[in-house]
Amino acid sequence: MASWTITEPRRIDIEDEVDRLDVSLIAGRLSVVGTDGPPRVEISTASEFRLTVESAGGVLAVRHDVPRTWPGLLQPVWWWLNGRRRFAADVSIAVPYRTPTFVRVGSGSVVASTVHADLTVECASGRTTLLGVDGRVRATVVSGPIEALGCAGDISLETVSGEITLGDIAARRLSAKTMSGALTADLDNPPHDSEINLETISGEITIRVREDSDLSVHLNAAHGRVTSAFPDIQGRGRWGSSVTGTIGTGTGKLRANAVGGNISLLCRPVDNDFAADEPTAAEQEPR
Amino acid sequence: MTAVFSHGRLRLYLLKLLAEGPKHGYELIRLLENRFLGLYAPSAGTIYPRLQRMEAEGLVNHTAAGGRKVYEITEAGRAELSQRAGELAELETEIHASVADLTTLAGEIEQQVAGSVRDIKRELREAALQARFAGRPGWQSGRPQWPTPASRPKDPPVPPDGRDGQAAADLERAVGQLSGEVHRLARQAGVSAAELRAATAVVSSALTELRRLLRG
Repeated sequence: MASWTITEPRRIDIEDEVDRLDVSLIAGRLSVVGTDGPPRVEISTASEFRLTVESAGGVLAVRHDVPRTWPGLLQPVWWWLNGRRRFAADVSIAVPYRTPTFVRVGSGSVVASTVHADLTVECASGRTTLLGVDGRVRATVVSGPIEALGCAGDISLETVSGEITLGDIAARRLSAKTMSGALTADLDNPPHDSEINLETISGEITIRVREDSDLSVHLNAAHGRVTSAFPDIQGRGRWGSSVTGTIGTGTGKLRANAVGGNISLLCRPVDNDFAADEPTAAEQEPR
Repeated sequence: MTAVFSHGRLRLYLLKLLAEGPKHGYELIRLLENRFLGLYAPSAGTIYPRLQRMEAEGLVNHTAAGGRKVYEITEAGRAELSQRAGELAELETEIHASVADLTTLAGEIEQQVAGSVRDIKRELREAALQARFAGRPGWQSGRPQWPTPASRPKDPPVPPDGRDGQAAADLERAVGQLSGEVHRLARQAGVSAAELRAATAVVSSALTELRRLLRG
């Protein structure tokens, strides 16, 4: 059991074993990185209100201490005066790869990278970035974009107002929902039994899957057009259409639902185990 | 971050990863990504030609398993690895140093993802536009055909009306020649059934190859 109270920038090496990370910040920038090294916490900007780092019973907890606010109806006024400005902290945490992580940030950005365990992100307002995470991933954002790259596992993303952009996703289950904002998904190598569900109320959906995928596809654009680069799945370019079809053997499921917006299903050519991919001049390094 | 890998160090690192056990290309990419906390995720286009080159030099060899190539280190590869052990240790230290400062790392991760995501969005938007117009009959008649998104980017887009007539005629002639020759050889006396079956397999594999080539 160890506990630190942070009032100025510092770096803490955690000696205890950490098998769960629990972060709750009111405002600021937070990054969680999975590493093979020992866990540590870096605070590069400390907030005016205290921040507590605590390691007990395998749980590493980082949170803001909320002082007494004004009572009753004056409370929102207190938060309005103090919230973002006085709570903003810049916190970076490194934990072992397989640490289940729970993150809650009121206002600010969240970056999570190479966490290979359950990851839950709750963010009221701000940008959420996921890179190389693999596991059960839940991200709920009220206002702000979600960007994910190179992720796998079981992913569920939700934002009310904001764009969702996904690149190189090889998830078995993927669910992405946004109320207002575009949804772009570039799927790589989805397993044969994958289940992909994309929904937006107002915004476009663009999906790209590999041409050798096995998916049964159901695309539904209530007030928009469905276009597809697969010859077997054709939207006939009509307004307000619903298209069903199969790619490959159709063992996986892909559903996309847009109320006000177009849906495009694109096809990614597959190089036979990358063989057709030539390195560009920039990538070729001297040997 | 990518500066860590220069002057053949990626190759050294690939050897190190393969020394831990046989792996396929995709696995190697994931391992590199983990090692660099997601910051350095080499594309297939970077890894694969490098593996091919290493194979040509005899440092690795591959076996096809389940449609994917699984790479394995050879004795020559191990020899090179032990010869460059000092360099490898140095590389490991540098990798550690590059992820030592978490705050900078977080900034880099955010920037890199934002950049890649922007590229993906742009690429997909363009492909979506192409798919939309290519699928609309009105557009096809009056305008040259858009290259379909399925065509490999390295292939020059070939509009159907502007196709090189000479090359097409050459191909047709070659196909005619092939079928004539095959007919003549097959009718010759003294060809056994097994030989005919082998010839059929050759033709069908050539056909598969041609399909792959011409459909892009």
